[in-house]
Amino acid sequence: MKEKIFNPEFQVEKARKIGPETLARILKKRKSKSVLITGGKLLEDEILADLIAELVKKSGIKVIATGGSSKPLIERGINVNTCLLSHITEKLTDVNILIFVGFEPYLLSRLLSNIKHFLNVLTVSIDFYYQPNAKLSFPNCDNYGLIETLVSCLSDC
Amino acid sequence: MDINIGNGIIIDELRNITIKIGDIVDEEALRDEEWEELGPTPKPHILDLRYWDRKLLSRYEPIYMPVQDFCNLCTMGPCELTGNKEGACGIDLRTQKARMVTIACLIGASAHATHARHLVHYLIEKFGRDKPIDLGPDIDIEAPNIRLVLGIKPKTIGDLEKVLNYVEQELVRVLHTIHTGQEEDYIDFESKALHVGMLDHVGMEVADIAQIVAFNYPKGDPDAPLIDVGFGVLESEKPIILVIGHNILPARNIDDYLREHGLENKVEIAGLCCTAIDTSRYDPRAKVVGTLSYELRAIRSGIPDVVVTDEQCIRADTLRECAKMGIPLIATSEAAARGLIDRTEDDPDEIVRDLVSGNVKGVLIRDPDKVGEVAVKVAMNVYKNRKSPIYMSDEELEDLVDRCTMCMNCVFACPHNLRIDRAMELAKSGDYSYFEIIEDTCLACGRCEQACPRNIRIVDVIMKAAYKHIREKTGKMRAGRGPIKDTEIRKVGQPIVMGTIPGVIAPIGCPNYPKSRKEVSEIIEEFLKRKYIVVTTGCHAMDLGMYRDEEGKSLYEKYPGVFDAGGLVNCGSCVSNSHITGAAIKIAAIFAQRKLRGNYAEIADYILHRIGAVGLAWGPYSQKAASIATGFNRLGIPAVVGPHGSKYRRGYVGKLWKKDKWWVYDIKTKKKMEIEPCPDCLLVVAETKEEAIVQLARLCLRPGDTYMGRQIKLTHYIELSEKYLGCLPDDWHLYVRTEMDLPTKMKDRLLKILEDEHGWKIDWSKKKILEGPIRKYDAGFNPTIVEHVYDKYVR
Amino acid sequence: MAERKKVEIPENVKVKVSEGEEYDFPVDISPMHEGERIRKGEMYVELAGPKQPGFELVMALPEDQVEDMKVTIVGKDLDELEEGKAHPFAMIYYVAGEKIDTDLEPIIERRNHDFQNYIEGVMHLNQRYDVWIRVGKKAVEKGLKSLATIAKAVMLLFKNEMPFIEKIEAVYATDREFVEKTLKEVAMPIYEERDARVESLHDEDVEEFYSCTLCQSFAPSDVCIISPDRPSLCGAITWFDGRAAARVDPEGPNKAVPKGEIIDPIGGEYSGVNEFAKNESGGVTERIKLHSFLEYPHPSCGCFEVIGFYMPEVDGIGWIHRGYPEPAPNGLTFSTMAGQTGGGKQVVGFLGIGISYFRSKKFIQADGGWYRVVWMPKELKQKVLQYIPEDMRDKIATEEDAKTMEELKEFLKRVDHPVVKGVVRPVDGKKITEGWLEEKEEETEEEVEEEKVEQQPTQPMEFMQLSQLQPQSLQPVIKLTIKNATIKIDKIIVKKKE
Repeated sequence: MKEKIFNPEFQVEKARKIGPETLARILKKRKSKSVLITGGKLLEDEILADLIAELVKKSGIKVIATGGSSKPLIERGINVNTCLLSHITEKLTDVNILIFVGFEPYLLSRLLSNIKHFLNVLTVSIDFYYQPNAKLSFPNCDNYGLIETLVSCLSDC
Repeated sequence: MDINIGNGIIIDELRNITIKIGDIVDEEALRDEEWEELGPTPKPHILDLRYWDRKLLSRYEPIYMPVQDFCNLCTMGPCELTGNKEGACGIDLRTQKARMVTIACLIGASAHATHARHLVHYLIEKFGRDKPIDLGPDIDIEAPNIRLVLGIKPKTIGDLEKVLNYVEQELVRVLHTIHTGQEEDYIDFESKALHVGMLDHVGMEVADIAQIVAFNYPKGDPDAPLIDVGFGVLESEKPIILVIGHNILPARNIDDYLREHGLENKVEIAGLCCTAIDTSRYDPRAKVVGTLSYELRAIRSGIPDVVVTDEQCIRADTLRECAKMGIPLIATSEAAARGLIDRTEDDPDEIVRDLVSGNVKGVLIRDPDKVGEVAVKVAMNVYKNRKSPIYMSDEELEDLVDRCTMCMNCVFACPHNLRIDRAMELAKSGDYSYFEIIEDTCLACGRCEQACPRNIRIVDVIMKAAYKHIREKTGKMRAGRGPIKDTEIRKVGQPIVMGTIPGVIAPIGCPNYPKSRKEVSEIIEEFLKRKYIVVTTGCHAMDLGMYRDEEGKSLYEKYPGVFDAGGLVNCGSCVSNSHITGAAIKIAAIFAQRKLRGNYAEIADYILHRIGAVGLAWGPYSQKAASIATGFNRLGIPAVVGPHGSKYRRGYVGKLWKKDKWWVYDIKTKKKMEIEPCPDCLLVVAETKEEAIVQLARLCLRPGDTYMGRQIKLTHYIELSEKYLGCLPDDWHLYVRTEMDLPTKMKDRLLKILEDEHGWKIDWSKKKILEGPIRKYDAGFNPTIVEHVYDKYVR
Repeated sequence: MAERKKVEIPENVKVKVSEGEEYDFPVDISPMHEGERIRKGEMYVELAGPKQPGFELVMALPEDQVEDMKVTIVGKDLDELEEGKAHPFAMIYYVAGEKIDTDLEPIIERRNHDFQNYIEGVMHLNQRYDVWIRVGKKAVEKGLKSLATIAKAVMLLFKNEMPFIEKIEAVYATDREFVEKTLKEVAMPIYEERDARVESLHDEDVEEFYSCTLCQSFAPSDVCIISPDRPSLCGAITWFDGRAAARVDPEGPNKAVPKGEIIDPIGGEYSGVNEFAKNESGGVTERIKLHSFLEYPHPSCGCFEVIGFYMPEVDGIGWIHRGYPEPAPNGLTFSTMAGQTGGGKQVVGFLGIGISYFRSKKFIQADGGWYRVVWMPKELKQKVLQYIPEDMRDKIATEEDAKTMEELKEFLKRVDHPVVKGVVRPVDGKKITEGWLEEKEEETEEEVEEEKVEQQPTQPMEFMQLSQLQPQSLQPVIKLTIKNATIKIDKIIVKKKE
């Protein structure tokens, strides 16, 4: 069956598909300075919010919460930075990997497009829909499986 | 040779002299023309306000979010521009996207300019050039945008022609710069886009003033009548003529025809989009079905007996869909001729016969004054008592649900990625409730049907499954009242300065919302309760009236229509957006006695630094919305757009932490000073309603705030941030100039944070801030970023 | 002067005391709850109001007599009151601070209304002995059990908003006897004393006036000077308010303005005021006569409630209020006239004021006060009727008497309005205008005769005559011949002959 991509988009360079184990390995490298950027879906998806909270606790990654996702994360005991998605580039000093989760797919695609063309930083989407404008992306996934695997990979080893 | 002049010189002889005389004017007319001192930029051309645009854009940097990575405008392409590469003509990605933004703005502005031209042309024929422009005793500044940009005071409808000549000329000039091999600098393209936005507001003002004056719409009336809105208005025992579009002329003719023939109680007019809003301003009996997302729903229900279309925002498959349902269609605009035969010159009864018999599916009638007769006669003849089930029978619904294989093609095709598959899954076991959730967000665009491999009429399935829910959606909307009155503006001066009115929120624009339509009402009600003034137009105005609370009241019934604290003002249709920029311009004229005539940059500078107003386009989709927002931006009014607005591919975002961007000249102290970063953006995307609410509160802050004004604005900003984001905003301390700016009930707590987390020096015995703010509060602070304004007022 | 001392609490009444600050409030406190209406069905109790006695009172006391953040409840507390009924209620606040005097009491007292309204579930209407308060059921369900909580919240807001309040103590009472007795013996005398003070305080009695430059946020050169006889034109600030605000922040938008030397006691011009205005307006306004209409009138920003306009045809002043829909007898509407002034400018012929200035004893006294007023809309006139001197009440026209200039002239002649024969200014008995009609006609006749006489001796100079006309008896020195020129005239302005 043909691969489905939400909203026909026009990229020449498309993201490389990646699995949770590989991503975990990349994140654990010493040179990796990563930031997790969360979006508004965490407000309506309790399970996702739980998972992300666990992810942050296990990996100690810094979080920039946008779209109101700060509230569910703070309620789960996570310390976050907040700002609008369009403002995140101002907050990225000394960072080389950006991980995105919990966004409206078409909105995330726009910001990834901006970063792809005008900034030099590795972008990774761990969201449910494959994001062609990221450098690395989880494939389309209808359940939490990939994120769960990522969480457990980050806590082992 | 010494010449002694003595008592004077006499000219003795004139030989072979040519005397050329220019204008001969009446002294009185001259006084009228020179009604005020002329500013530096009357009738500005493309480069005349470029200096102002460059100042704005250096603070509010354009950020680009390309939808496609290449350009294919000319035959040397398509050219791939990833990573900001250059194409074959030398243009880079950023500049190409700035070009696209300019194109979108041009399309939008020309829509309004053409609409205005149609109206003015028709009105001059009908009423003559000399019909005076009089908006009533409380509106002295009748045309703020025209006065500001062109420097003239239009007295009659005939004067409006001159205005449109200028607008159309400038639009063509900007259009020409889009040609391959023109602009190299993306900021210059943005400047052209801003220029077009400004022209758009002028064009809109022409259109709205012309129709208000000619058709006697409410003139700033806070008690304009309440109109029935919602899908439920289609539940009627009478024939219904459905009008769709933006130009009121055909709909007005239908209304007039009904009244002239005593049929106003026998046939109903229901409308979609701005035509609906304007028809209800003309005749409060007209009904408003809703926004453009109801178009397909209304047609497919089979309820309307005739559909009349004019221009803009109408589905491009209207004829096909009407034909499928057996509904005759009358098209009336050259912009949407739909492949129909032009029957303008034919005998109306012949046309009626052809439509009623089904010989033709539709006709094009270009003369609006002929539409009424045809539409009414067809509707009355075609009307049958509808006994067939709306959308489909219950059995058909089950059948279609059964057919679905959950392939999710529709989910990926849907602009909102609605989980239709989940709804189908639940429906297979008899639970149709998820469809109601989908219906609230669904645009009824039909892309799902186009993608479905099993040919399921998904839009109809959603409507049928949620039918009870849709039928109950009826509400009340206040008829569009046009401008804000000068006296209303005077009245709110004191409360704004004293901090009882925190700001003005303007929900405007299209219905491409990210989630339920109800969100707009939820966002706006939060602000109405907090005593903000809300001004609305267009599709948002309709959707705000669509929901009733537990007591059965819609927002317009709960909150008064007066331009004051907690007031909900409906200015009207899309062209009424010019009244919002108009109100801001009037504030500068009324309170500061700033001259308006040809004085754009000074007034925009005044508005940017003092007037706490912000637009909310929660579901913008069209090019008109792009040019309207850009027009607001050039005048110094920021806007928040919903997530789909990111596809306009350009935002204007200020960098809060870059101190060298936030400076002004203070005319009072004659110094260049650092200021707090507000408004922080001119155009920014918010993802969720929670984020939008907090951002709207922040965008009401302005450098010119009094301490009471700043206190109330910060109170709401901080309260809303804690309520919706769960924490204090991380930049609130930037906006504190003095301890009097701090929200009263949180004073102690905030002073502690300023001391502990930001290192400020506090005198606890007096609860005073000694050191830390970017600048101190000074009531006489008189900021400007324009050098010629500084020179004009500094003493 | 009514004595200020702590009210004695009777022995036999139930008393509850709560001390110390409170931080956790069961309900939300925010300006967004202002205007919250609690209907009968939603209320837990009603306090004071139309059915029961009640009052609010602020008293300034010496510092050692006030116990900071202490609340004494006299009578039953909130959770002991019978639900659904109205009860007597008194709120007394003792305040102390270095900068506090009895003049500040009403300013502080007025904020009780605002602050109680900030509390979610508490509604406060009116003031003084008209107060009407309701506490909602929802608030009680959320945990609002004691009146002390309300008092503590209000006291906290008071201290934060007005840092000159160094100590504040509250007594809330629901015991009928106590409320009625204290109202009669303590509160009423203090209210009456305050009213008398406002009535009796005039410009001459004070050392300084107060300024307001809040509107500079929109009108950068606007300055308002507020004196006991001239409150602000937006209607929000009296001399007492200005004083309180200047105490809170002497460098803020409300500053003390020392009067300096009196330059014009009738027009109200002071050297200190002039200098202050010149500085604060950036030089735009150099002189202000507080009580004059036609000379150096007080500037305005744009939010005035009423605008006065001079009509030279009748040599009188008319007033029109914001929102009046018809044009005045001069043919102009409020909005058109308002557009002529404002922005911090002084424009002779128009004056923006607040309705409260009509009450002033010095109302435009330099130009004759009420004796120069010829027209106002009926609605406005009714509002201020009690301040119009009896002998002028029937002489000021409304739209029912005159809508056009002709009708106005007729009316004024008929009622023999002072402007017809000449206005005598009440403040000093001086006749300040000459009156109209007959005298003017005589004047013009005289002028014409004078002209004729003048024309004979001298020949007027005329310039630029072409050779066709006879040159006058001048001594032309130079004759020019212009050949082969093109004269381009951009514009000829044709003036209509009068």
